Amino acid sequence: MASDEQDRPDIDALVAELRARVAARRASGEYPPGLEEDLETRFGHLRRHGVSPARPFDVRAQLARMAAALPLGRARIPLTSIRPGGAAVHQIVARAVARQTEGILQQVQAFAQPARESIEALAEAVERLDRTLRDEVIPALDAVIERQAAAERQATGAAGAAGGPGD
Amino acid sequence: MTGPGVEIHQIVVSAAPGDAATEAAFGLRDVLRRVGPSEVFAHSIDESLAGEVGTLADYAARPGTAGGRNVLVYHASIGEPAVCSFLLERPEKLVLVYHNITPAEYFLDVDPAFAALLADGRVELAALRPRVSLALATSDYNAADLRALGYDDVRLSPLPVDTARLRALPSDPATVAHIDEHLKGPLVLFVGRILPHKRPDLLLSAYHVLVTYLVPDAYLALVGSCPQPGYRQVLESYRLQLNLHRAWLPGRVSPEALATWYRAAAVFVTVSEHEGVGVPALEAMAFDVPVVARAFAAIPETLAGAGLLLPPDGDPVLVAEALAEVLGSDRTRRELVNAGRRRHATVEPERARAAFLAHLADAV
Repeated sequence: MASDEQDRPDIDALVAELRARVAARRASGEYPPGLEEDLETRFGHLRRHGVSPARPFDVRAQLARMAAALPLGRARIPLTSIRPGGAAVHQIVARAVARQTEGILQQVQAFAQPARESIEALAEAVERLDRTLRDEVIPALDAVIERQAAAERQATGAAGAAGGPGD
Repeated sequence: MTGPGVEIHQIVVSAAPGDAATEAAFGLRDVLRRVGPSEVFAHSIDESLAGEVGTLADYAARPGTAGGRNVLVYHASIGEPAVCSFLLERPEKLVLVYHNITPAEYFLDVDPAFAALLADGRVELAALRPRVSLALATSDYNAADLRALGYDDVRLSPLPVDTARLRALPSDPATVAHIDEHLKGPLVLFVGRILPHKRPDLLLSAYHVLVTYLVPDAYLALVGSCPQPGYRQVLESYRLQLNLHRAWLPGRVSPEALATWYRAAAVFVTVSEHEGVGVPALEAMAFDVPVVARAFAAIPETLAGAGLLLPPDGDPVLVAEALAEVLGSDRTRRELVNAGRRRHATVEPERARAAFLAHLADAV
């Protein structure tokens, strides 16, 4: 069994070895030229220019508000008044124009109902897309990137075995 | 050590869980209470500590403080004019515990107000110097910094780092469930507040290199709070741009969850450019997790040869290469874990507490 001293890592030697590995991978092209600069530039740009704040928009809450506003109907128009006798006046006017009010409400309802259903369908589609992106597309993309990286490593290894610059 | 009726209380600027100065104050409070009544007071207090930490006004209103016979231990890690004025006006003997103050430059674009407080901190330390009866530093690095600020007699008083308490905690079920479900490869772990001087951007860059060229199935967790929302958003965008969806930023976690992350980690990494001590590296050693770090500030003395210490010019590629070495080489890993165990064995919180009391007894 190794003693404590024998088991002590030689950090300086290890760092020198790591530096040599980095240099070899750079020379072989495994690490593309400008890799660090590209990363630094990318983050520097984000930090300098910031990120536009994401405005939280709860589409489901808005749809619920929309649903609560339907169906439209004369009964939802208040007939109360703060003025003495005002309620009676409102009731008389409401009865007088009931046919026209109903007609307008029916037209608006005919527009609002399909509009609400369309927005609901769109929201569901967006949510479905988001799930697909998160659960399928990104992992698939990641798998492709991993396979590409593995292929590049294999190619570099083969070049190294053949006495290439990665050796 | 103290006369009858004399109390020793501690002051921090902002009391918050996970904050180094706050945690140090709690660690020392335990031992101060062996001597007499001892509480922690702060200028601002995280709501989770509302019952445990009092305000400066609470201290002033405390019976028996009018005569100035008490001792105040001030943990300095940032400036705050209100605290400085309070300390300058109080008649009590003042003991300074210096945790270091991060250079303001790191925060100028992210949080100018915070940067100003950091800059104030150094000015305030100079102003407090004539009031300070005893100056303690938690590392040699901090001691040197304090001397540079004009303090002649600075004594070393290590932090009472109690990793045994952390190791004894049960795992957090929610974190275990997350790890069980999602972690399918070796976990690279960073623990600490997500702040610019800790260079989380460099960690993401290094992780990008690691998974793209060296260890494709590696995961990364940056565990800690990110007080600046704008900075967190920039990091998130950078993470998304690099398609690093296996890099996680779970935010501030409970002690149980923290212990769970340490238990799951294959390697601990910090590329921080400013640390007064670097406690998470010691915690990682306590969990037998090998440590990779860069040689900045107090990190070399904290590791004391027990981690893979990269030069300060270490770029993300070198950091990634170091992580790949630790993840891929059983020998390197074993050597670092063993070295970490030996280093960790020298971390004795009770001895640190005793040293603190001894310094205090000399001065008071």
